[in-house]
Amino acid sequence: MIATAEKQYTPLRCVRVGDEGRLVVDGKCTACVQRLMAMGLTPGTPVKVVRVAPLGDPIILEAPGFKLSLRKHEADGMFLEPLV
Amino acid sequence: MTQLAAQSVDSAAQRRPQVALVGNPNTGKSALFNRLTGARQRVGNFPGLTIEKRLGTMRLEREGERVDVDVIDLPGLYSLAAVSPDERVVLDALTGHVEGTARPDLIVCVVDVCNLRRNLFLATQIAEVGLPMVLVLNMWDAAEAAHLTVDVEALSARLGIPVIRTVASKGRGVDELKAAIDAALSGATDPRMRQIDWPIPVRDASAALGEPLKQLANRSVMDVERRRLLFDVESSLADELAIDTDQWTEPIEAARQIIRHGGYDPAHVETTVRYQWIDGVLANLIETPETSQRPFSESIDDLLTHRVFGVLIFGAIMYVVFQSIYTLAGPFMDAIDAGFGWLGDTVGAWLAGTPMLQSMVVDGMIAGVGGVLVFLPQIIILFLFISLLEDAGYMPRAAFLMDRLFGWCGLSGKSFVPMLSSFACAVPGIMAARTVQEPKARLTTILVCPLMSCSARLPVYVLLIGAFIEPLYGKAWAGFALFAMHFVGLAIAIPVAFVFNRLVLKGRRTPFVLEMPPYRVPQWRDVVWRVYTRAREFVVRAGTVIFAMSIVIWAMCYFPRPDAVREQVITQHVEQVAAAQSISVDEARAALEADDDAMASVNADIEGAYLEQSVMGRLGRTVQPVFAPAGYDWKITVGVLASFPAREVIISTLGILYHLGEDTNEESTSLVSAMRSAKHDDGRAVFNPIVAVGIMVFFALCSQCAATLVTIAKESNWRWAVFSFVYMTALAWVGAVFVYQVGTAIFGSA
Repeated sequence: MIATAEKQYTPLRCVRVGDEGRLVVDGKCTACVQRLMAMGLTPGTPVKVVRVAPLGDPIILEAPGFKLSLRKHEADGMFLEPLV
Repeated sequence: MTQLAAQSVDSAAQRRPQVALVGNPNTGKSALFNRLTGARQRVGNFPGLTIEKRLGTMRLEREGERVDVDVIDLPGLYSLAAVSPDERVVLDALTGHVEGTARPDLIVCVVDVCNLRRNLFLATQIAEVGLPMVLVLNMWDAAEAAHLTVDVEALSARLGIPVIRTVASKGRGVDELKAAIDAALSGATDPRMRQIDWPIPVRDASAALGEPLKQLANRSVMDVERRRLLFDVESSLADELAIDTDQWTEPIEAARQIIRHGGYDPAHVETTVRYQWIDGVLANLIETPETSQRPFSESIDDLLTHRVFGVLIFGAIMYVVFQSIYTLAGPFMDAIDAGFGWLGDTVGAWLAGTPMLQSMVVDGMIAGVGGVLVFLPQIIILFLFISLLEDAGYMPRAAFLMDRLFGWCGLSGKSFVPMLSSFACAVPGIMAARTVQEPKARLTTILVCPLMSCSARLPVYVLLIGAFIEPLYGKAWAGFALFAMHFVGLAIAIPVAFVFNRLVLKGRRTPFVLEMPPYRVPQWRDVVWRVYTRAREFVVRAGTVIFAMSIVIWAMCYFPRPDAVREQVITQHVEQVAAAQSISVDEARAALEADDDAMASVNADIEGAYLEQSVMGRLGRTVQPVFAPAGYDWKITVGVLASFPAREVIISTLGILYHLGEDTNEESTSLVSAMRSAKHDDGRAVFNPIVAVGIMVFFALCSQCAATLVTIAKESNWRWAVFSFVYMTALAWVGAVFVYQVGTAIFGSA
């Protein structure tokens, strides 16, 4: 967990199965984050962590209408903002 | 006038209309390609890239006349943003910057109707290339099943281009698509998709790039390319335009600053604007029923990606695949072997009068063709499984499960299938590496696949273990040695992959992002088609080169062939017999000619003598000092060299060299005893368990397989095939020398 201004964001690196939230993109944008956004993981998208691979990585995220598998470290810069 | 008309007809005949299929992965684009082109397809590689280039010819009927159109199936992608040249290929193809690929006249953009919003992201990028375009909403049946409706006419009106509904797997809508393509190509329509109005700061920034690009870039840069340079935090386009990074940083930052001043983040503005635009276009056009029911697909997914059951099921599936290539293919391969053996004998008998022709046809050509076709059963079975698993949607799940295990050393979760298959045979394994989309991981996979211990190594192991391990140390150690030989390649492949990925393969690593598509029932038509094209491709593309190599190696082992050699061996034999039995030379010669068994043995001696003085034999003697540190004599060296086309050839070569005739196999007791009694010039035994293990290690690691090298060349390029040969041979030599030197130092020379 990192604390920014007022809210608690969970980096995708630290999520567990069942975590849900709105996607936040913050910090230096990498080519990989740009690709994830192009694939539909735009800021504000509600996502859910539905699977973590047996060895802890990669993870599967579910967003409305699609599911993506990604490596945790390649999603650095993406966070979950808890749904209120 | 007539001359002019004739000229234009001429150039039209030379340049067929070009259509490019573009779309996201998992949109059924390739199935559509198959429907459009039928059997008129060819597969190649883009120059210098490990990317498949699929070309086909589509036939259109226009006013009763046949019009042939070239169709290119470009690799599936999500965005034109490219961090590596491999990813850039679609952008380059659409802007006409790929060597040997004409700029298309029309783009057919394929989207999955169930993922319309996300798939349109690429469509908006493609539209900016400035070519006419037709939009295909594929998988319409899935939308119907989900009660999803799209107002196609309104969508077409809003986008300004034809929108065609298709079910490519069943052929629905294909005629309508062909009609739309024909209308656009004939000039009856000029469908240009409506483009995004970029915010003013973006337009200003793009304009600001114009002047610096004119000075820095080595060619003119289109608007669509300019936007890539502006938006993408890492762009491989800068390398292509030969822009010097130092000079580039300042103008690009200045342009991005314009965007920032306008209140946009340059790294986010593209996705924000495009998705807003798409949402505007799709507003009120799509109706998605609210379903509370959990789709069946989800329940399967829970099981197949489960951390325990998922892995167990994956293991079970891989076991079935491996067992099938290993055992199911066996009888077919034996049948092919036997068939070609029979063919060789039959044809050989006809040509008995002309020994050179006989040897060339039987040992060179027929053996060469047989050596190509023998791979077919394994290729067919493996690709049957791969096509089924891919079309069903299982592959991304398997990649998800295995990614961590393979990812750390530069491979990918999808490398598992190619590597496992390579234990049966590296040729289908390397071809299976096409399922690995990340270009760098794919190349790494291709390079380490041949290290897996394939079934062609088995005869070599069986011969040497049977001759030098089992009799001395018993069955348990023999079994262990066999296991160890299969393990050594795998154990070495992992660090090798790691090193390649860090040191040899340049370029950035593509991120591993995979869409988990819904499960689908594979269509037999597409599965059979894919298996057929793969098999045909192997025979045509790899087969011809393997065949040529077999002939070359045969010639090196056959020539020169002076009659004097034959005479000398016979004379020597006859003189020995005459001296031993105190009979005259003529009597001994007559006795020899009457005795078939004696003649056969003399013939084996003659073959041995011929091989000894052939180009290959001489080469072996010349090269032998290189292998001396591994304890090899010149005969083993010739065996190693002659087995370049295929490892198992060493056994028949040793058979000839030890004067046993060429029909020697790994269970031959005479070969075993000949090897046991072989001596160096100074009287030391050539073979001992250490030398035997050294040879096995050499064959475990070497790349003595022309088919594999040719397949690597076809799947990447010749540079990588040469690289594979060099690195594997070096590894094999080091391994053999290490075993011999260390073994001898510890155990003595036995």
